Amino acid sequence: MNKRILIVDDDPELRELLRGYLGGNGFEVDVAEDGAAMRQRIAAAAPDLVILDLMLPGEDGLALCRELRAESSLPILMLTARGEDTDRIVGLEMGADDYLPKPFNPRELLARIRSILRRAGENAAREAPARALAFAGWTLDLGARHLVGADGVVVPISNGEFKLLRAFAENPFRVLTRDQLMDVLAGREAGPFDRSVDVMVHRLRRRLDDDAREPALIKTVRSEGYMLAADVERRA
Amino acid sequence: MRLLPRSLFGQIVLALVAGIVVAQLAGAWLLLDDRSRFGDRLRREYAAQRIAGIITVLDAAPAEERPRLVRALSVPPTRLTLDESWQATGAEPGPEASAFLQRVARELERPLPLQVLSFRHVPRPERRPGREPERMERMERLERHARHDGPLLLLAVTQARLGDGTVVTFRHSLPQPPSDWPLRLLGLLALLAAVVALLSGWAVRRLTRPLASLADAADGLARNLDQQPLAEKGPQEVQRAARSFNAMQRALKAYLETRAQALAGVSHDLRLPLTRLRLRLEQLPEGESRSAMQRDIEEMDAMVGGTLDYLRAGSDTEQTVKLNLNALVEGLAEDAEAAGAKVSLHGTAMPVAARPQALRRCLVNLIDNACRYGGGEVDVTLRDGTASVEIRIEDRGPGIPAAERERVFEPYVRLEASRARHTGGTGLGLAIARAVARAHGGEVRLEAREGGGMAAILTLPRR
Repeated sequence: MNKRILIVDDDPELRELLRGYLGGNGFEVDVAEDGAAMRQRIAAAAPDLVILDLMLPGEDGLALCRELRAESSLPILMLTARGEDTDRIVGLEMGADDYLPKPFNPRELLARIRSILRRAGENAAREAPARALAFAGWTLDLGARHLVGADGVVVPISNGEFKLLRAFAENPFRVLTRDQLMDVLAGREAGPFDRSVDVMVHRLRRRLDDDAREPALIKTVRSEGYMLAADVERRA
Repeated sequence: MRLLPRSLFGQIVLALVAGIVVAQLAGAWLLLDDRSRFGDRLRREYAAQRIAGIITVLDAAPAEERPRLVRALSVPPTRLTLDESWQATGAEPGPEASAFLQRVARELERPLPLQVLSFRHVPRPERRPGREPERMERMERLERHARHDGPLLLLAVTQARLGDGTVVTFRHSLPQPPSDWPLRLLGLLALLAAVVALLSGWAVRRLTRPLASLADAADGLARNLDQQPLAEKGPQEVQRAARSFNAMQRALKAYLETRAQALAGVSHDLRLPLTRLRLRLEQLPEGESRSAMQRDIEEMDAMVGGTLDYLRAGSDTEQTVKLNLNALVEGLAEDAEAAGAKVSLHGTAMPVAARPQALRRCLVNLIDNACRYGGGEVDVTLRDGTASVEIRIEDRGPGIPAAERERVFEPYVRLEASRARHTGGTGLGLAIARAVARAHGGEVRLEAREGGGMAAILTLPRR
């Protein structure tokens, strides 16, 4: 059965365009223009994911997000026209699973939706989305998208590195194949910075002060892929 | 050569001190002149009394006593002799001479015939033959004295005819007083001048210091509109200037904020139609025009994003953290290498307090610029210091002429529009980099690189 997506946005044209685009990509799409309509649509047919615009007339997206999160673990993707770092952090604090600034690349949107749905499907009993993942003295800040060392010093990492590390940290002690990792990276914005998973993993190890010859954190599993060998603590 | 000082302080102090010195000199001259006139009069009075006294004594003395008396009384500055006869001059004596004659006559006990043969200033006393050696010596001492300490002697040659017809001739020399410097007076004047100069210097400095801080504030305003307002204190006029300056700063800030809001508003509002356009494009069949339109949208998106980045660069929405600069620079170098540039890293630095996303944006722009215009080979050097960290991004490109190096930091300014369009620049890269650096309390500047090329230097203070 197709996944059901509810789009909450005050721009009718954008709503229809999104309905067309996501519908064309195999989703069942419902739309609402504000908070009241959103509640109505959810009561009528529970969606698998809500795409919520941050800037809504009346009740704004953050308030709606908080309300939804208080009632259920319904996955939420926030859209914002601002793209400011603070919005990203605030959005995540309010419980959104992900965030996408306008004007987004439609394919990026698709990739994010799939990624959220996959994660939601994997942990049926979903915990509240974490704000940080801590392992082996490091903390991966999911809001600010950077790594923090044990001494509190921030270690900047690229978008791709962040995605890889997040995938590792959400699946500790599980081997992730190169294909799976490529998939994780595929959602990132198209750019000239394409490089193989192996190079990225190599870079990640260096960032984590992991010995490249005898890695203790991100281990190579011969002919299978890579694995994060550390306990991960989810921090809300 | 420049004689007048350039500074207001120097000019006012010079005028005050010059005025004081001129007034003091004039006063001192008047005082000294009066004093010497008074001294001169006293000396003439004394000479007249002495001559009159001698005449009275000789007149009363018996004739045989006189030669002995004359010898005894003939001591400087009055020499007298009985050897000369009455000389008929016939000439009318000058005003000084007759005044002197009257003074002598006034002192006499009984009127006797008197005449002044000569009353003049001479460079040296007349030498008379047949003087005694001892007297000669004295005269010579007097001469020397006259030569050295006073320019002239006043030589008065006076004759008197005594009651019995004997003629006495007086040669009285009045040496000019040695004009010794009135040290006490001059010292007092110097002290007065020094005190006035010091006080006026202090007062003028108090006036000009607010001017200097006004100039500093105006300088700083160009760099930081949010700087502390000027202290509105000091003399009234200065207070007013400070108040006006602060008002100007507020007005400028308000104006720029309005402009930024307008720009931000347009940029925000453009994002919705851009999003729609992207979705509409997905409905079109794949093809050359679709990908061309997609590129156009990317470009517009980059401009909007750049504008928002620029407007946001100075604000502090992001938290300041301790940041590992080495990792940041390494990551950026690797990204640039992946894009086809060759970036060499040199040096390391200890973590620095910074806003990660903003600083990343700043460095990305600087490195991108170096790669884009610098021929693809870029050196990035970290230089750690106790007060600040310096990050140099150097290329071997054609560089930028010195006159243009500040202009390229202005938003939307490109040196060669055509080239920038080819390479996809928005004209905001350096403006964003500088705004970020300044928001961190640091600075970005461009310099010519030794051996050709450009060096962008980012300095971040350690706080």
